[in-house]
Amino acid sequence: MKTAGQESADVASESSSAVTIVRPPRRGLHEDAVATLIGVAIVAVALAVTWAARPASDADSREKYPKGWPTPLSATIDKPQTWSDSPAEALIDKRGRSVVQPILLGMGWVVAVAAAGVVLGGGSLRRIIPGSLALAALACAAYGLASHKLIHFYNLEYPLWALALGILIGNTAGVPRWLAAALAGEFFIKTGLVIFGAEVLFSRLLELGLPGVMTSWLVTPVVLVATYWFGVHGLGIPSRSLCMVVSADMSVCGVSAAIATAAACRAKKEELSLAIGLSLFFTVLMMVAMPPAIRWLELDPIVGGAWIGGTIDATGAVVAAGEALGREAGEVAATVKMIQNSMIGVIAFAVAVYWAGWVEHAGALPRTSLVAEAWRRFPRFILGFLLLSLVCSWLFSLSGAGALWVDGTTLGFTSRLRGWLFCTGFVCMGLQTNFRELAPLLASGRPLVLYVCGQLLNLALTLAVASLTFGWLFRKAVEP
Amino acid sequence: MTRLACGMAVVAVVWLGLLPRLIRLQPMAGHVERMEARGVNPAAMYYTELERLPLRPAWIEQRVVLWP
Repeated sequence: MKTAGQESADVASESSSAVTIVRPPRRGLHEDAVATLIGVAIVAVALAVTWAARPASDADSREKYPKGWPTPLSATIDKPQTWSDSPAEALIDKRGRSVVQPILLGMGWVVAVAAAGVVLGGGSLRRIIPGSLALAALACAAYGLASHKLIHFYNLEYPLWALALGILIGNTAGVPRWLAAALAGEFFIKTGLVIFGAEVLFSRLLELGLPGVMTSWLVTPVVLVATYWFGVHGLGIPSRSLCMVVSADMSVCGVSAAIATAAACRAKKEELSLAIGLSLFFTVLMMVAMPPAIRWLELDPIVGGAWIGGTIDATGAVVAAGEALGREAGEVAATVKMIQNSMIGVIAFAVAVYWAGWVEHAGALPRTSLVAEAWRRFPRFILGFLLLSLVCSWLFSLSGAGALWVDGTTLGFTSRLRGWLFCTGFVCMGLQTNFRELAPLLASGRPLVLYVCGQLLNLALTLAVASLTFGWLFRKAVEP
Repeated sequence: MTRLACGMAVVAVVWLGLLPRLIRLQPMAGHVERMEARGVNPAAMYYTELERLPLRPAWIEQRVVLWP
């Protein structure tokens, strides 16, 4: 595993020579194996704790437990709340209770995951503890910046501020040696992604039946492949991974899809940063512009909601835009987006296979060597992500109680923990990002053109399919 | 270090001075009020972070044939 300590060795070597990367000999498990082990163990323990504390009565009542069974683990993790005038408001939740303790415990989870990673990876625990504490504090600060109500309600999500904070520190004061020892951005992201697998439930796919499946599953892969092809062959963007990450975040579901595909195709951190920036910028624009455009076009609320759900990148922004059209449009938009969300697992797996088998393989190898080479390059933590996705989908589909068990575990604990891990990972990536390397990507303007062209195709195709399915093909002839 | 201090000062001015003033102006104040009143979390990265889980709307089968 390229653990925190080993990664810091890379960083130190890179910063001193700017060319040579010296990796110390590996003593522990591979980073992918460590991320998978830790992620699977955390979800298994969380499921067990939630099961042990399951309600004695009405355990299958969605009305009584709309967000699943309450889990005791939810008291061990939280993040700063929304605030408007003073940051002190971020420490009090909506019910007036202090969240200082769960925030501190959330930071503790980050340090614990970093410590487990370095122990399993064969690194030195003592070297990474001070840096891990500082990273957790920076992640908390990034959450604090993202929690201002103006930022929060205009969908400028925490990854942007975690990256910005890291870039600000890394490109002004630099990264001190004690902090560099704990930089393990990829490890935090990979572990967060494995845990994220528990939230990617295939059972949610059929929520809107055939019209929903057609709107989400027909358009998304077509737009993804077409945009990637246009970026590589039409615009001649030299980095295929940049084309893939921009295409995925635009066609699937924004930041979460960008993170998953960037890990699957080993995109550079600068490329992921750029893709996230583009996605958030256009999400805000579309969230504000689409509801009046739909009213102006006099579209049916169901079709308008499906159009919003299939095109706006970020899930929260989809709900905000849908609700601006009315309750019906908001419900359809959110459900279409949730179906699209469920595609992340399949798409990340497909991208990982395509990358390992076709993009990265070295020239003319015999077929057997090709398979072995593809397997060697395959990002194996994706298998942990898929495993948790399949297991939790199966548990979810077993019964009403199973669905509440999974929802309680993921909504109450694992989604919060993966948020902290992603946030810390983005702080690390920001600290390691050289702003000068971002400049040429920005200056060329081609990623922006790629995003705009891909989104225009997405808008046109989604509107056509939503009108066809929700508006005509499957519409009931007699309406109430 | 001076550049970092300058950067941090800009962050402090924006978050502690500018944003608290901007949020009181229209149309931002109206947008925030509407979102809060409806319990919408526009910053949700994934559906599990939404205030309400998106479940099949009760009325949808009266309007659309889900499995023809």
